[in-house]
Amino acid sequence: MDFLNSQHLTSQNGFVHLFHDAGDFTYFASVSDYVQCKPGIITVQKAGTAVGKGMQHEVVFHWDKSARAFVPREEDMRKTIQQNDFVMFRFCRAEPGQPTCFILGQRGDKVEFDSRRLRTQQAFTHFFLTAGEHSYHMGRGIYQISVTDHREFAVEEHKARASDAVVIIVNGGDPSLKHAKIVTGQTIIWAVEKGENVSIEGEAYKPRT
Amino acid sequence: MALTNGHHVFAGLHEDAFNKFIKAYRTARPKYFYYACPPLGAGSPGVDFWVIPPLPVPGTNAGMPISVRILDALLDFRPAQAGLHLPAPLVLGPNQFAFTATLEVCFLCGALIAMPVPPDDHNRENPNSPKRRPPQKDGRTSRDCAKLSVWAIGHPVSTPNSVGGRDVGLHIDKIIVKDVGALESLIECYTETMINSLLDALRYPVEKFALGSFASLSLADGPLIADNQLKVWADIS
Amino acid sequence: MDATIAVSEPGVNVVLQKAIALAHAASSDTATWGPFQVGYSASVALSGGVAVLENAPANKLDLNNVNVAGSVSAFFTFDLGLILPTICIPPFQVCVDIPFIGNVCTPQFCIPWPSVHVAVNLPFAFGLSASFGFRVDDLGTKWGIVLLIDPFSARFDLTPMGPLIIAAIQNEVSNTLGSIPLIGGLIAGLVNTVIGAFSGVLTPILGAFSSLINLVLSLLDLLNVNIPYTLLTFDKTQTFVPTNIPLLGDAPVNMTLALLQAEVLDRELLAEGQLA
Repeated sequence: MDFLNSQHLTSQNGFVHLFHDAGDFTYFASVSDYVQCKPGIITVQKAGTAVGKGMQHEVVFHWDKSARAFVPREEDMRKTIQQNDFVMFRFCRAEPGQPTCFILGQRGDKVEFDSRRLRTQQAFTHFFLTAGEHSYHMGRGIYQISVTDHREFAVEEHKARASDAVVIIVNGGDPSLKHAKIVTGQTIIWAVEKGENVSIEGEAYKPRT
Repeated sequence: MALTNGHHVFAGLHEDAFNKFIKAYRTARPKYFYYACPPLGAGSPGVDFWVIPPLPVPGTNAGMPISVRILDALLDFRPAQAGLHLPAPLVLGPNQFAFTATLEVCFLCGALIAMPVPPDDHNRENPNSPKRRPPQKDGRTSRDCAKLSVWAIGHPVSTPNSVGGRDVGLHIDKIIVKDVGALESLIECYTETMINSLLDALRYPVEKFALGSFASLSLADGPLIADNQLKVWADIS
Repeated sequence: MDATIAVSEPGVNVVLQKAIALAHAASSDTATWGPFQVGYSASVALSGGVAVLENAPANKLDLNNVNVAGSVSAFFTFDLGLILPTICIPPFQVCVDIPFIGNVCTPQFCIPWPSVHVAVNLPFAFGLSASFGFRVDDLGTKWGIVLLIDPFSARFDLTPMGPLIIAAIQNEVSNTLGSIPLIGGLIAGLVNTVIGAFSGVLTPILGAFSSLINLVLSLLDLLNVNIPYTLLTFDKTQTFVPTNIPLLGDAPVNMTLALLQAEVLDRELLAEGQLA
């Protein structure tokens, strides 16, 4: 079953942060607030790119069993990007027993981004693997996602549907789509246009029998 | 030639086994070979000898102690052993056995033992007549015995038993007791009845005949006496 | 000899068939071959067979064409992650334009392959022939006519089990992979990869099943080369007339079967005993 919670990231999730300002930022994926990990560095260079026109960069974490920590790829330890580029933080194949995590970014001592508290120009993605009815809350509201099994479609039809990601725009803590209807293998992107402290917390799940 | 002759199991007990059996029987249950009225009889009554009432003396309510003892008993299956000489008209035919025995009959002469009066003897006591003691000899008693030789022929039998199977046994057909004069037919009748009831106590089931554990055996053929053996055939179910 | 007992060949067959009907045994084992863990058990029962007696001096009983029937129950567990390559879905890029962020391409999800469990029941049957020698053994309170089996090798071929196991694995893996979206076209190839890995260990697995079947056969008293099988028993103390028959207090009339000899003559099992 899908574990849907933006405060606890799994290998089915991605976290997007747009780097508005130039500067040096450190980041790490952490299991808890009390555990220190070796951070990666993202250097943001000044550029004249408009918002929405920047490039996507990727930082890929994997779970190191012996270190008991999430570790980015070697090439991700030092990244240089331009202003208004955005980084997709994601995970490669899940290890058995891998815990959930959150992604924290800092400039100096100041927290610049925290995947547990989504805000403007950030996004949370979830790849849906199992069919069923999800409900989640965001702020004070409860919203639905219906996921249909790929086996209920012909292969080509399912592939066509899975080729589209569903975008739910979040404004002031309200999603643009209250009841999303998707198929297994599809991804939903919750993109925060304007907001603070947004989270998507899965509540009830009923598998489709 | 296969002994089983078309059946599952053949069992044959040799006459030697039977004669050992008779000896074993006598050792385990001596009273079946010795019938006596005390004071005749040796050993414990009911164990070493079978207690019988005295022989009634006519005209009295008393009897004379008597004992009958089987001194030796021997079975001979056909074909006859070399020393067997059966008196006429006895002939050892097919499927027959010969039985020879010596009986010793004794009286305790001079002893009279009171006997209970039979309930309906049709005698009416005269209460006024003087009591008369029975005539006695001069007070002395003597044990007088006679030995009788017995020859018999018989055949094997199988009878249904109480557990749904069959018992195998022996039965006397004709008996000859010599040297008893005019009493011969009476004594032969009596002895034949006595020995048949003894032999009846000696019969036992076919399963035990085969001596072993065969699950369940049912008598299919026999018993048959031949070749100095008592033979039975059975099938296993 | 005081007593002669003969059992015909058909009679011996009846006694043996009673023993054969009671002959069943089972055992189990577990082992791992590569990524495949297998728990397996075998059970065996005997039926039929025809006994033929060989006259002295051979004194043998030949038991031909006993039907050995049974089944092997096997439970296979394997982690697909140890067999299949890493596959990430969807196999195409999905991008969407979000005005206030940019052209966002969603991450691929790399499938954590699950473990698969396959249970399969594999019946088998084969014919067995063996020879036994006769002997009279002193069993304490009884004499026993015992059979001792000559060493034998059961010949049977389990290769027909191979396709059954493979079909069961194919079925279960297909079903398991079928629940994962966007790999439909790959499933046949992935199943073949699993079967390819399994085919490499099929022969030793069938070998282990054979060993277990042989072990189970040796658990049957009748077929154990080290333990004589008692065919018939004769009490040493034969009670010709039991106690208290016909009168209470009557002692039993016993005789002792002092000696027992057995041989095969005229295709009959002949036992002769001496009473004392």
